[in-house]
Amino acid sequence: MIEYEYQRTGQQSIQIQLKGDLDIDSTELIEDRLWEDVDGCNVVMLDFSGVMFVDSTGIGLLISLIRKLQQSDTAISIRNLQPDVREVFELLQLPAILGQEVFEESGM
Amino acid sequence: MDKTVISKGKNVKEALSLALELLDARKDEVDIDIINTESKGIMGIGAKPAVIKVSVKRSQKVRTAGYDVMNLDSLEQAVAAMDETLPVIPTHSVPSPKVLSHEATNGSGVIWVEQGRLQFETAPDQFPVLSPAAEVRVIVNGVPINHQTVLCPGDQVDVELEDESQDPEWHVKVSEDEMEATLHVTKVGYRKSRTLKDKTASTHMQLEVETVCDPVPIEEHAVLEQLTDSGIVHGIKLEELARACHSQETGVFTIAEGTPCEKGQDGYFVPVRELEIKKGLKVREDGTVDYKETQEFPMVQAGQLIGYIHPPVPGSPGTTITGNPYIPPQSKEVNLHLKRGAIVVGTNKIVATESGHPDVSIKRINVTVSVVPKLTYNHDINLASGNLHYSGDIEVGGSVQDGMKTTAEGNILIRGNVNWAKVKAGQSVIVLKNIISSEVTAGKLHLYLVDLINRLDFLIDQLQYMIRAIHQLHVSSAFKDKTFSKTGLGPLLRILCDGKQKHFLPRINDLLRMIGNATELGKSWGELTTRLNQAFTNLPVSTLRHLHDMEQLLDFVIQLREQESEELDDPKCFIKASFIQNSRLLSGGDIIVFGKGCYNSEIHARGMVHINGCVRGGTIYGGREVIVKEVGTHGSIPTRVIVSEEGVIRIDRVFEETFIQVGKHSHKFQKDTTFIRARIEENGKLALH
Repeated sequence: MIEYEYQRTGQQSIQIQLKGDLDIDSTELIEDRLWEDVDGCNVVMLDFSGVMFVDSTGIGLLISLIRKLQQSDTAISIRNLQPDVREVFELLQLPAILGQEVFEESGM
Repeated sequence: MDKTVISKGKNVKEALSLALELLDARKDEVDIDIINTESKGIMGIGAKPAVIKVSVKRSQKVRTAGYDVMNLDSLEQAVAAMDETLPVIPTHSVPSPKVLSHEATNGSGVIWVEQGRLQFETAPDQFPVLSPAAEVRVIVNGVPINHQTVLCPGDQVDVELEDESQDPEWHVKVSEDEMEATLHVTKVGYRKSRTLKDKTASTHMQLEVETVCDPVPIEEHAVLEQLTDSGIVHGIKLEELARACHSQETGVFTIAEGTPCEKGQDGYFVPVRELEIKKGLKVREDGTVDYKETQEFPMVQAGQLIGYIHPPVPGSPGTTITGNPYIPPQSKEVNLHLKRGAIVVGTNKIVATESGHPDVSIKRINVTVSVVPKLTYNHDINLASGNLHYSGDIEVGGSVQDGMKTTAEGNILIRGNVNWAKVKAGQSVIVLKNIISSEVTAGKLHLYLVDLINRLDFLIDQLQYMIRAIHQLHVSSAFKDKTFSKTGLGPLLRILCDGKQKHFLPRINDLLRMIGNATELGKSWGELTTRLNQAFTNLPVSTLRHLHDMEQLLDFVIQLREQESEELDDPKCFIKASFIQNSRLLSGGDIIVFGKGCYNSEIHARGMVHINGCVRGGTIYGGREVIVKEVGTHGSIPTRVIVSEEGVIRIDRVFEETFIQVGKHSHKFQKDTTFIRARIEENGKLALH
């Protein structure tokens, strides 16, 4: 289960601090609430420092969220990945799927 | 001489234990005089040690001490000196240093190790320096030190050395067939004892530790006992057992072996005449190839003996290590199928009833014999003659001309050319002249089956990749794989197919479409379709729930691939021609080109491809081997030479831009090269020479 806090860093830019596990129990929160909060932003920054565990459903949610944002030309970046989570992302080749630019500041 | 020491300590007891140690004597071997009992003083100030005089009783034999016991005078002086400089000599642990004052030995502030004991003495102007070592705990006045330390008069130096030991660990395993017992040594036993290395006196001493490691062997009788308990009575190898027990390395040792049985021999077919079709190809001893052998199919006349059946020979039993007989598999009779043109005469003789080509197929104990009749046509096959189809062999005296088809269930021999035509034989094809712009097939294989199998290779490759990825995720600490029990592997497969395996789903669909369009495919392909549909057509409801499901699917595909691939292989078949241009050749066995070579053609042989001349353009595939004199063009047409993972490519001369591939490894030549021998080496890399 994941939670998040956000901070508007500009008129259309938002910084989101994720906390918890990005897993199957996060479906509702990511698909509904988070999507509403980021809708209309053109710069979205996702801070992953508080995410220790992921599962394949959670990663799937992340992929579809980012793809939707990319369709509306939103610049999205993922930061502060925990090393273990980064390893999973690398294994599943998320940079190839979502674009290297998303991970430019994550240390990948 | 009496041995006497003056000793002191915090109390009498401590002083006595020091004295006994110095004298290397027991309490009942000495006389004790208490000179001073200890006094505590106030708050440690003015405290005085207990002083006693201890002598070895006359009647007692003085046991050898590890060092010289000091004489009484010097000890008394030593005690006096200590009185001035220090309050207490605390209890010693073994081995303990002997403390001397400078007056005692007239020394000059040195330190040494003698018979494993650390000793030192101080002088007014020189204090010995001790450097400790890693494997030893040095305690000075109750404080462990790990750096260079200056020793002062009366310093209490304790040295602690730890011994180390490991008992051997082992177990015995008996093979399922009770033909072998192995001793698994999982840990080698040893005892390590440590002592201080002797050192001569010097002002600065680096401690050194000597370690003696004694092996602790496995007790042989314990192993033997366990063998007896397991009922093992036969074939025990005592020498090997002893070697295993004393081995300094872990490992697996065969300590009992049954007597193997002698395998019998199954029945078999013995030919009495030449049955094998000479492919007209012999590799001479010097490595060159002889292409000029006979180019006819063997014939048999009615009434002639073809061969006979040899009965099975039984084997003899062996003995298991538990003393039971070990029965060899029973030798089997030949399972003989006689088809058209052959009968059994007497008990085991096979005789032709009509003339034709003797066709003998042997698959283990299954022997099928028939005599294939031959149709001889001494003209060209053209519009005038019409297409030619025959259930036996065909011999064409002329050529097969434009747009014509010649098919035979047996062999086809064409003395002329094949021009813009199709030739298909259930067995082999020999074309004595050229094959131009034609399609020639030998064996029961179909091009689409070759293609399907190539696609299965891709599927196997991708499934293996997915399984590896899931394995890695399982060991990844940040990945929650518990969710798989709720969702199955679907969401994960979705991600994989988004990423590196982008081509996976489209290619699966291609494969499914191909299977759907093909006719005459076995039942297993239908099952593959069902399984792939359930697994991949709708990922969220994929039937792949666990890694195990994935592995099962992989096993199924591998098995199907092997089975179908075997179906394609028809090692007896071959195609032989002088020259090939703009054509497509497909053979379940070999393809041999004995003339000028092969231009712009697609050659696919499950066995070997031998081309005596040049290959210019096109693709050459050989299952086992491709041997060509010259490959490539100094022009624009690319030439590709491919063999399977286990195969070898030999080319005497290869031009630049030529592409070769062995299994999954490929290479493109950047310049002309000679004498290539390309194959995958044991390290998995492509070697070219």
